[in-house]
Amino acid sequence: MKKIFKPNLTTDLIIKALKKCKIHRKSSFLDLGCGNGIIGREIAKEFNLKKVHGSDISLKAIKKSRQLVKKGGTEYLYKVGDCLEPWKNYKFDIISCDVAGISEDIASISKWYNGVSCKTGSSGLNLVNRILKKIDKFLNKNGVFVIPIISLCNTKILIQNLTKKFKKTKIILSTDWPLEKKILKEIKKKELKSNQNWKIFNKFGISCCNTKIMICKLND
Amino acid sequence: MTEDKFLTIVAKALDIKKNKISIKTKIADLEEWDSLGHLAILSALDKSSKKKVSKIPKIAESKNLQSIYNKIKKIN
Repeated sequence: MKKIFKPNLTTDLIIKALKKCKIHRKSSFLDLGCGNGIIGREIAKEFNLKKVHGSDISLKAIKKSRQLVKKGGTEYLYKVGDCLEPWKNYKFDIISCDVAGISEDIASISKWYNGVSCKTGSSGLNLVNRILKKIDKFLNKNGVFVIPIISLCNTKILIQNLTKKFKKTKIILSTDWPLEKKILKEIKKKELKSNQNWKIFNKFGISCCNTKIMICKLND
Repeated sequence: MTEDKFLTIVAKALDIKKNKISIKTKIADLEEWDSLGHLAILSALDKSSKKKVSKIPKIAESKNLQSIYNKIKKIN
């Protein structure tokens, strides 16, 4: 059964990061991998946005997003589709990316993506790389791309790809978070090796991961 | 570190009002003090103590503010 990905720490951090961006009522905003649409609704409320666009591969998620829209001054347009595919011929000032971005090896032993699409590959970057390949065609000249960098993907390659693609990149938020003991146990049991540069580190005797939010601009 | 400063740091780390906590607060008393909140508290205290907190053995095992504060006081 296909389920809807629940908003999590990454979603919260993306919202916090977006609130720090220069967004105004007429900014065209795309919430990529919108799930139940929480990011779009929060940003619409914060900046009184005229229009919010959102897409997700899950029809159920899109139905939920549409359901949760409240009547007000913001128009919401939600589409079902894979990555940027639903937005052919559209251009945006801000695109936030909350598609799955951790190694499929780890995702498969966690409950995070239970029933939710997570075809990210061992590196965790299959979906993100597909987006990055075409992102410039979907951003306006001064467009901003907001993306999480989770230490459970190949962060080295992701940062390399982002800095190659964008003229200006900046990490504006960084949070360490504890990894569930069950997952750690499974990683050890399955002898998963970090050959994809994903990182789990020890802090105060707690096994931790890290999520950073990067703001990327095509131009200065 | 004074108790007042300690509580200010903890409240900020948990993103709650300071009057919601006291030195007697336990992990079970606060919804915000989950495993992520626990890490946020220790990280914030570590930052303000110039990385001294991370050197305290078994600091993460403390489940109430009094215990964390007592351990920090010992190193100052």
